[in-house]
Amino acid sequence: MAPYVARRLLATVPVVLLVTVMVFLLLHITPGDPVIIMLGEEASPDAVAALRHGLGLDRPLPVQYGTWIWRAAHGDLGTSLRTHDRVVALVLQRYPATLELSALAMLLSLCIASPVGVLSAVRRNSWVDALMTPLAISGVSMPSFWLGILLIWVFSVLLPWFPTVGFVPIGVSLAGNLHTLTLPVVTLGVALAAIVMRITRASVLQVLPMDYVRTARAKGIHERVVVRRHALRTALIPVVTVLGLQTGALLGGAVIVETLFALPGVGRLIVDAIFARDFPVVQGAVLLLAISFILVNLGVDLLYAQLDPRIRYQ
Amino acid sequence: MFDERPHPPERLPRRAFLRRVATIAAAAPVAGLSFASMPHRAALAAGATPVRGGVLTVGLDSDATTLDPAYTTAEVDGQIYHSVYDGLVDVDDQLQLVPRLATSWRPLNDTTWEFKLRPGVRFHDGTAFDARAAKANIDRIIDPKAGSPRRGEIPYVQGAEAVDNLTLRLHLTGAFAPLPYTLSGDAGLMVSPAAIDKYGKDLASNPVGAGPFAFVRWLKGDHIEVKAFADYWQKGRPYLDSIRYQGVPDPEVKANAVRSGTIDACEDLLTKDMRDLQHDSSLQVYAKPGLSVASLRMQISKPPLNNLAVREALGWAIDRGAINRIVYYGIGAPARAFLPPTALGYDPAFNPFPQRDLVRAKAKLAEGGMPHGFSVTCQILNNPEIIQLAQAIKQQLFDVGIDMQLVTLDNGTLLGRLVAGQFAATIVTYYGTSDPFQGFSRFFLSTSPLNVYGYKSPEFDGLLAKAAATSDVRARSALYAQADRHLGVDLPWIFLRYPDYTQAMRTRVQGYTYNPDGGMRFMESWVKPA
Repeated sequence: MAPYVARRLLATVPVVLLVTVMVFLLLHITPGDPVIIMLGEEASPDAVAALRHGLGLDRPLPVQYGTWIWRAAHGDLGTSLRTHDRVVALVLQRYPATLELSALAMLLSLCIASPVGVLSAVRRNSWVDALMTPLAISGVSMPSFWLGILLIWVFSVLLPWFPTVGFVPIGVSLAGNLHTLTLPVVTLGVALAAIVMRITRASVLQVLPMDYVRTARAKGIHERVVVRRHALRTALIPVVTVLGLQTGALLGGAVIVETLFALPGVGRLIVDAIFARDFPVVQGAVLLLAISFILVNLGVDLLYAQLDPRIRYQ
Repeated sequence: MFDERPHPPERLPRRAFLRRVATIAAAAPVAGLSFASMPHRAALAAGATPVRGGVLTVGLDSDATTLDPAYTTAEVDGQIYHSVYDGLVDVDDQLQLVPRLATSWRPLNDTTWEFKLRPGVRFHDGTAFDARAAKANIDRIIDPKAGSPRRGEIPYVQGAEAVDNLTLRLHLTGAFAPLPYTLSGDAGLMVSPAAIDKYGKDLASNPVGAGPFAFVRWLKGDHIEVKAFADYWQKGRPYLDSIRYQGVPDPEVKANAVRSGTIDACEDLLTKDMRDLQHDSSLQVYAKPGLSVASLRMQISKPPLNNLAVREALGWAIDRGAINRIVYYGIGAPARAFLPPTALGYDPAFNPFPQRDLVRAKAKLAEGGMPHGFSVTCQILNNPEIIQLAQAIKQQLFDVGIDMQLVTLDNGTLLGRLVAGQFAATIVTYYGTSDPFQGFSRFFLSTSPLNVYGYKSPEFDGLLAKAAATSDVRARSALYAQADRHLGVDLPWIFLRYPDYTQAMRTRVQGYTYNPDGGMRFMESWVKPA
């Protein structure tokens, strides 16, 4: 397995490079000058020119990119044009909130979706299935910003159970941390739960008529054990694949949820940085998210072998 | 000679003051709000004794960008500076200068100003505030190598001199009477010189001022916490133990957060939320005139808008009152010229377009050689309220045959095009200053590099030069009024509306006074125990 992992990790290098080139080009093609945004419309041309020179933004684009990638390779992602913070520190400071939000949303979605999806499949066309299908479709269809505002209205304004905004780091207080993250996690997790539920249902339905499941039943094993130990394990492969791919969507959704609930995550950092044309911050944060996405999907590939004994990595 | 209270420095003449109050009072019903619904510190504090202690949570539009006032370019940072820093001077709720770290100030001649400094003041790190500290702050701003955006705010200041421990002199290159007003902004905030040396650029995250609250921590992207400064020079203040500044970027969430009590105070609310908030008995809601003006800015050096009659046609065709009622729910007031009612130099008698007049608009178009109208592109910010405003104007101009095509852009792109003069028309709000010299000179002076509109008026330039050399506030105010009249007649911009500043506070917040400059100052505030 080790050579496989090494090959996969090596293959990520050109992908990451391509991501950085694309982000760099997109940012510089987009109209809008970070210096003008920083200094505002009242800045004198002299002040604009001086700041642009100070930030190195008057150098040719290939030179700017070359400098950035060379430093990035040495662990230095530069400094924010707007706040002058080191990008590495800024991104790492924001990453735990995003990671926790995404992980908890995924956990929540699995906790809801797995049992409900299996139940819908096992009791296909029953009232449970009939109830869960429209619920799942509603969950997928609901925009997270709308669900978030709805949750805030009900659980913060009408019932003052959860704070509307604010974040308590896990290191400060676990209870406070979970209290502040409950509404954001539910907002982010609901849509994912709906998708996972549908995939689980379809996958279990596909596996249940298979020969090895029939064999297990023929041995006289209890149906619950057949489903849980034989059918579900294989059925989880497409579910895990979807979860891996949904990491991207989860991180994208985190952008909205973090903005809505004012959470100090990477998503909000990127949005703010894009509006300010804070190139180093956008590049650094996207680089981190791209690497995260690639690593999660590598983890998913490795998990296949654990779930299905027929799969081996050469 | 300006001196400390009870002989307030640079006060408005009584008649001018009464006129301004009357004007604001008259504007309030237009805004769909009455003063009865607006809490005032006196009313709230009547019979109530301030209580010490308590934490206040303030919701801001976003997280701060830098806590170093020499380098800030974001409005939001200023709200935190009101707690952490004290300036040489400040403005009160009538926008009159009040002493802070300077107790008095006067011009020795056209190019020298002298500031007497307050004794016994210490920064949060224990460093004494004196003339050398003040000089270090001014030197830091005007040093071209430092690249401080503040330098452009005091362009006439060429040097600072510490005459003695408590006397600071500023040497100017030319007459600049509005200097104290300019120093009431970020340019006059005092930072500990020891902290400047110690932190350098990291001062952005380690602010050390002499304000009523000292910096505690900044969880980036989330909140900033400040606590009461025990050695604050104004004994007995502040009442609060601490303030937590929480970034809340979504305006809907911000309104819900103050409703639910997650935050105690916030600003810059959506006008559509204001009515609901006003009906919430747990809130005090402020919608009061500020210093802003929203305008349709044009390139008047290029056809067809280089023709004054055509611009006048726009002026007559736009129904400012209807826009304010329909798009902004009656919050704010229709604009008459550049200066809003709260600004120095506002003339209530001047109203070039008192009401919409389509007959005159068509006549003016014919006079300008465009009887059948014309087409113009207007670049606007991609913001729901601005889009609604622009669509209302587009509809109204269509009635006289003018086809205004709208292009929506994000803030960065719009700002870039605006500064480069790459636009025919655009709708932008200018957030003014307590003395309007800065806005006048930057946008409309013939020689200003920021005058990208093509406006050139020797009369206007002359009035502004006179105002710069006029220390007497009443006389300067009259000159500003004349300058404003020129803009209202020459129409480099079509002035649309004076937005109100909006703020909401939980009723437990006491002793708060609204300031028309939009700054939330909590030095006198306290929280009512539950």
